[in-house]
Amino acid sequence: MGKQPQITANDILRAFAMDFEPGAGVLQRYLAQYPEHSLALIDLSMELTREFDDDAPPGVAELDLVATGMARLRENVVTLQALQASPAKTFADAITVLSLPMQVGLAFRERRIDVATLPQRILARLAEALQTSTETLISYLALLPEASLARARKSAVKPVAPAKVSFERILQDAGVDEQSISKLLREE
Amino acid sequence: MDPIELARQHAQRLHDDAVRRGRDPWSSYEFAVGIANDLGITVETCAPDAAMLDGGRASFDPDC
Repeated sequence: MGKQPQITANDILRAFAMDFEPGAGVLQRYLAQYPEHSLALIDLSMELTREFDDDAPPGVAELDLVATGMARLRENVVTLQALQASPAKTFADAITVLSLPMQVGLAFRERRIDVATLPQRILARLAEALQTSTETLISYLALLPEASLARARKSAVKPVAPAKVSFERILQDAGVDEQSISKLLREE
Repeated sequence: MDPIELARQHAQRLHDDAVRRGRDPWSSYEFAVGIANDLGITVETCAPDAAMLDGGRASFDPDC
């Protein structure tokens, strides 16, 4: 069995923003549970408790802040079901953030990669590119592998059922050089 | 007309167009990749026993 993947800072901050109520001890609870993210949690709590002058109209800076926050909330809304329904192109486009070949994106889409072999950092970056959370991506990848029904093959034999393999194997199959593979697999 | 013949005729047209545009049919792999690229199809190589091939020699994903 592989190690349990850690929750990302973004996931913790998102959960804090959802739970936050001034004076309800939410900040204290999160600081106790996630001391490594204390600075970010405190910054976020200060933003959430900012006071505004109701008589004065919001300034440009405040409107920009609201727009940025709303855009962020809209971004990470891809659910597990939505990921399952996503076309191959979604994953092929997302994998470009890691500068990897399209076939690696397809391996993710078809859930051919053993989650336990994926560095947390890679999961986080791909989740962000897919506009979903790391947890959702992990849940998706844990499902059974499934080859694309639309795929056509040149083959002398009947296709074998897809199976999960290591991330390293997918990278080697795709012709990624060993130095790049080492860099990708390194947990930082 | 059966689908195989229709496919053959389409391949013939692609071949003739590519030759007219100066591609070399005697460099068969580059010739085929060039036509694929002209059609907007991305071609990637992989290891002969790559997991993604499921035992095959090549695959085509129309969705990508």
